[in-house]
Amino acid sequence: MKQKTQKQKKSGLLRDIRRNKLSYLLMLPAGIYTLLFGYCTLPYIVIAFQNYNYTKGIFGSEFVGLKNFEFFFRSNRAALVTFNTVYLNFFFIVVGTLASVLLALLLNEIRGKRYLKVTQSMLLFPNFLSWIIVNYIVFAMLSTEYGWINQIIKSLGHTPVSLYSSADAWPLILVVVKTWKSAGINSVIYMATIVGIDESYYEAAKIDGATKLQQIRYITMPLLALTICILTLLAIGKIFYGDFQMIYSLVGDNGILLQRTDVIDTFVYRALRQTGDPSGAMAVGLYQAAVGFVLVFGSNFIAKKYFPGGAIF
Amino acid sequence: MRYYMPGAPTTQEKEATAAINEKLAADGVPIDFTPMYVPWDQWTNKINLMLSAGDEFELLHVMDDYIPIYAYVSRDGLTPLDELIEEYAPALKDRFEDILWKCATVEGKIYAIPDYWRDNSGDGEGQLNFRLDKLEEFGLSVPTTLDEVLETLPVLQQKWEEQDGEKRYVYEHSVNRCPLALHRTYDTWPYFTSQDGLFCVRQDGTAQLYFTTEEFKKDCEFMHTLYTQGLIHPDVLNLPADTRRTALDYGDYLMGIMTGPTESTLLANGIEGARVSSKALEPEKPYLRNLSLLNANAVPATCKNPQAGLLFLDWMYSSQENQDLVLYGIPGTHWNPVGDDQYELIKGEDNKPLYQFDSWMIEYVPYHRFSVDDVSTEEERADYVSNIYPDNTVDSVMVGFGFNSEPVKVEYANLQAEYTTAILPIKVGVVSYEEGFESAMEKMRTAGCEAVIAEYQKQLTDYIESQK
Repeated sequence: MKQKTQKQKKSGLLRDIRRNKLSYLLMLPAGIYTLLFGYCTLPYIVIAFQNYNYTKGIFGSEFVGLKNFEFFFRSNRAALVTFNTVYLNFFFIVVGTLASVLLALLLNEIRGKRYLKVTQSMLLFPNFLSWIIVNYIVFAMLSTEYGWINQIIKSLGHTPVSLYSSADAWPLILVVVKTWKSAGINSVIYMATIVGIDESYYEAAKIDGATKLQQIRYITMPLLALTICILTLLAIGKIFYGDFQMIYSLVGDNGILLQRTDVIDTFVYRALRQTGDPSGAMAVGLYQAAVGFVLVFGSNFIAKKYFPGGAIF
Repeated sequence: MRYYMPGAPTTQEKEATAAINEKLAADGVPIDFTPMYVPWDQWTNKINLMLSAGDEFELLHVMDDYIPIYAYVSRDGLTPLDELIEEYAPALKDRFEDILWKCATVEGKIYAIPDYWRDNSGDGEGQLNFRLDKLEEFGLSVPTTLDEVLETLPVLQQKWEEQDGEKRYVYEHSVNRCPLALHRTYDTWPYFTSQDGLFCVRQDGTAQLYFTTEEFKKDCEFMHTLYTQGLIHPDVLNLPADTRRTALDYGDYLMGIMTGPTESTLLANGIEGARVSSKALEPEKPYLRNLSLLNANAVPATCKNPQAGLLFLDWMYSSQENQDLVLYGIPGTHWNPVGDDQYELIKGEDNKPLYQFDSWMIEYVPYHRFSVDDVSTEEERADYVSNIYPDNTVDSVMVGFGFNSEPVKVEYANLQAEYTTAILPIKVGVVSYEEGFESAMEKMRTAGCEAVIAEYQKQLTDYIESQK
């Protein structure tokens, strides 16, 4: 009976592929990419437990147990960089999600087509800038001498602020810059969900005299909550990964700012850039992935219990 | 013969490579030269991944200030070359001085072909670079002591700013490197300081953590004085590299510490009447030859034809014509010779050379050519090539020594990471030594600096003993 069910499932999949050839063809590049970089690389995790040797490879290198994890966990910065990573990512997720949802709600209310297109394009644009370019923009804004923020401060008769020596300001700066860069593109997903909401709900609400805000609160937000929940769960899975490109481009080797902005990835980069030790890098990567995995499961469990529709699996 | 190097190709790379391969074939060298460029920001990771994945390639550029040869060798990443040189390219042996081969040797085996680039004379020279024309214009002289530097620069900055409203600054080679140019002025000179500023080796064979020395304190006090006087950019720790480079290349700087443009660069950039003074302080003191192998070319262990890279280098270094072809391309198409020792690159519509190979990675100095924009005299040029090491050059006791961090890799990794946050802000002058040193030292101790220097000293002593 069981065999029959499996056979039926199999033939069902094959039939489905035959029926939707083009859809599966579209999925093929992503499938190959995931297979190659998501699964074929898995055996290399073993180098986290080896003194990796280029010539001996993963089968011949010496097994050293948990030694490669030592440089991170014995460091007096481990706690600080772990805290900074989670702390910054927490604000990136919360502020980023709020900004993206708000943008999606606002964009949905724009009726002029041309204006909508121009606005959307402008909001999407920062996402396509590299962090190197963003760094130039941020430097042009914040630099002590010619930054336009300090120019305004000077024109008001005050003393310029040296933001590149003020570590406490940087979590906020990073959250603002990250949100500016990614809120536009993230709002597209929320907008797609909003557009997909059945118009009849809104029509019924209008007949009952609901205001615009009431429509958003009682129709849009509850239906958007599922998407918000799923995207937040996915983001939590990466909460132990610092945005290396962003932080290294904006903060670089500024030791003063690193007190508040040093994340796991930037710490590992600095620690290993001279020795180029792949085993140490893999060990920390494994730690980040393992904690991310546990967090996704934990968050998903909570979501399943209190908000079943928002769970991923 | 795939040669991996950092950078990006020029527009007529294909045409030049075809010409190189044609010449190789005509000369009976059985290899096909294929330059492979890796963007600078991906260099370390990409090469690490390629070696880890067993990718085959025949020649690898090694930069000791990125990943030292030792780091590759400790993971069996490179092929030992002694027997291969003997068999396939014995002429290479005589092209370089013994001291350079010594630097290319790890645990008794040669692992790289030295790059006989001019700047290999060592960072011990540590020059200070000034706009001579500007100093003269404002009635100032080139400073010859650190005190004179501190007297001259504020005047230069102020007068220049009054002239055009722009503020100029002092720039270091990079914020990470030690300001070696200052070291010559100290009574304890000569001594070696590693590029990352971690280690100091006295000529009696004593190793110290550089940031624990009196000399480091002096460096920091000098830099902090410059910083507090507004002579260093207020955002020096985050100044984009391009901004600094542009300021130097267009002559907008007060002083370059171990960096700065040549007169030809400034003239080419339209700075009329620009003149440059680039000299070491106290030139009568000895010059220290320490890190002779800043750049080299090595054969990866993953390579199946390890002789290919050697054959290519042997061919290139065998004649001026071959080196010219690799570095400047096809004569008449990519460049024109000027006299016996100069070249003029032909530029495209974008005003960039149609072809040029980074000479610092591979050049053999005896065939060096100077840019046509170079303003030095024929005698100066001849001296540049033939007299690489000044007469009063002394060799550091640690020439040829490479630190194997493997026994203390946990502490060493943490030290590297902590250095940036604890020491660097003091080193560049942003934080004063008095204010920041104690807490910085505490962090370095926790990171394990004592274990690292003990291991360094042990290996150095063993090395010096082995050389006797």
